[in-house]
Amino acid sequence: MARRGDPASADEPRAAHDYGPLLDAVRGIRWRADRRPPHAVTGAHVARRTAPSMEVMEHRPYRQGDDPRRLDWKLLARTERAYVRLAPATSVSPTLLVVDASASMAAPPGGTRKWRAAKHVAIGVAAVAHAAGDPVGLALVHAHAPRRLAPRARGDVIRELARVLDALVPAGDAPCAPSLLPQGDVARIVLISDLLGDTDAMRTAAATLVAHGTELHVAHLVAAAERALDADAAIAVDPEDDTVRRPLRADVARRYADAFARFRDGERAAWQAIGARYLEVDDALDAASWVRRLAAARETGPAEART
Amino acid sequence: MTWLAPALLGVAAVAGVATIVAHLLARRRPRAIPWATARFLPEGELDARTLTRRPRDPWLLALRLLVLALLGAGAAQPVPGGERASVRRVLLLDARAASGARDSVLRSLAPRDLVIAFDTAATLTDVATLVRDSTTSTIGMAPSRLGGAIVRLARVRDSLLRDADSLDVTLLSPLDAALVDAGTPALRALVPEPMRIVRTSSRATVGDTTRAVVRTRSDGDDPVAAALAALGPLPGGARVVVQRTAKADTMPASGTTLVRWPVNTRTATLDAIRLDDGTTWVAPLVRLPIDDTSGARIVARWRDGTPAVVDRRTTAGGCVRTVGVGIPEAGDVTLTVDGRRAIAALVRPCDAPPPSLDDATIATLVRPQAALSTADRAALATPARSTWAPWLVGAAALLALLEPLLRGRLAHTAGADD
Repeated sequence: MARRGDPASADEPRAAHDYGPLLDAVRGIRWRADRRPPHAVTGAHVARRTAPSMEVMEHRPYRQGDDPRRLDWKLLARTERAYVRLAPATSVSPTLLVVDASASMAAPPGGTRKWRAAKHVAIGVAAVAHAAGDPVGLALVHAHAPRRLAPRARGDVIRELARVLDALVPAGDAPCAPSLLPQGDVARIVLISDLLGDTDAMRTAAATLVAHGTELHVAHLVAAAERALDADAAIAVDPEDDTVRRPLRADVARRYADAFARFRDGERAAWQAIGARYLEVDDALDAASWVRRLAAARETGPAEART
Repeated sequence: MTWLAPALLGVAAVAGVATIVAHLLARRRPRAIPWATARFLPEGELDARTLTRRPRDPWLLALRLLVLALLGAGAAQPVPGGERASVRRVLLLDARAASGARDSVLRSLAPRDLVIAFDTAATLTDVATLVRDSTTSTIGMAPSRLGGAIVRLARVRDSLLRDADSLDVTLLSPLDAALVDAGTPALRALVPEPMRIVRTSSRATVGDTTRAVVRTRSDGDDPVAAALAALGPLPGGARVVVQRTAKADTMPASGTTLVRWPVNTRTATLDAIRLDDGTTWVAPLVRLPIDDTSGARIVARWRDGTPAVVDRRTTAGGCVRTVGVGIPEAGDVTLTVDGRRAIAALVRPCDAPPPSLDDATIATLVRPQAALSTADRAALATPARSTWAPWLVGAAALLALLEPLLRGRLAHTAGADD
């Protein structure tokens, strides 16, 4: 079982500069907050709602109930008409990336490609959030070397995230649910996982999280090799539960594909049911495209989410 | 080396082949690989059976084959030395069998085959001796009894089976009715082997199939003449003269039987005679004296064994039968069914064939009808034993004890390799 400090695979990027093309590709992507940030912390992030701000966008007549502090006093003094100042809300959405680093993220049939895709999606999302001025943190779920980096907005946070992710080899079967509990200063959580662990517990925690107003995005990592069975006669052992041993033969490919498709459909429906944004991420495609879809994700249907 | 139970060698061979096939049919567990989505695979048999060219665990296979070979050899009971014949032929030779058939059968026998020649007694002999004595005359000999021959065969049966797998028993006999008596079926059960029956003509009656000509000389109404008249022609192919008069007739010519049957004048009492064909006649009879019985063939006896009817050959080739059985002059003693049967037997020509066995009786000889009890069979049986068998089985048992040890060691080694 690989542990922290084990050398990573040769085909994995070992330095932050390996993410250069990805960072170039995601530059310019804007990720608007889906919900009003819980704290009126001003920042560069564009909120959906208009709110008082230094940058006046428009005026409207004062209505009963408006905050008197929002009155444009100069206009009232000049014209004796009561107007309030309106401007786009610019706030920060502290973003936490919860990355599943259990053994299944790097085990066949996906292998290191799945883990590599997970890392790229994480870095890409972090870069987009960081570009919007949002603090970005990381909760790395690992059985032997769990890491938690609080959301920060300083300039080298992306490099630090890349360093932490690259230094780790997925192993064990640590639960992700504890990382999904409501956290006061986090407005947005991005869960990057293959959902092959404590999925039910994760959804339970995530439901509470969403109820507290936290924006939750789920990037469901699915390796292209997992969709269709292509293996010689062997015994497939669940890397996180060695009591699960199944014959791996070509004649069960159809049943396997059906079962796996039912699983994915069930996960999508279940996550969307609790108010999370679900996106099925295929490791065969470019990570930047998935980042773009995730940033643009709204209440998407299944077909749109799976493409 | 011979085997007492060679079929078990075949059983061991089949078991050995099955063992080899089982080792070729490897129950191999494929390699285990981590598979993230293993839970979506259907459950099933993890082991895969494949037919390989090289047997797996050759040492274990060799040990198992050795155990099977020893076990099979021990069960087959090898007997060192000596040639074991598959079939040992035994000929039960009736002394009354026709010489032609007798010699023909003897020529077909091997020198080591056994012959039990019997008449009223049974003699164990060999083929060469019989061929040498084939000219012995049996004219006038007493009817043969099969019971004695069967007893003799039962006594030598176990010794014969020590160097043969089975016995082929053949009975060569004219199958006279007197061959079998009431005790014969019980004696037949002593020999479980089926018996082939070869019917042959009697030596004295080869080709004799014509009817006998019976002439009665009497002085008036005669009960014997009345019975003979009722019987009609008798078998035997010879000329028979029944003399009931006091006047002595001339000596009979060759092929003629003169029956001297004196007329009774005394009061009859109930008595019985037993004829040589095994039948008994119970009737009011009178014992008439017979002058001389030395050298004569006894045809019938009184119930106490006293000769009642005797035959004597004449120098001219004829036969004089003296009947010492007085019949009441009045009454229908000779006209009853038993009386007529007895009269027919008493006036039968000297060389006439005796009555034959019926088919039902012959069937009882072919296969024993009564099974021996277990105790009787155990008392009779002296089964052959192999001195090697216990050692072979013991060696197989010892090696069988090593099998689980070797299997465990191989499993441990395989586990360490994994």
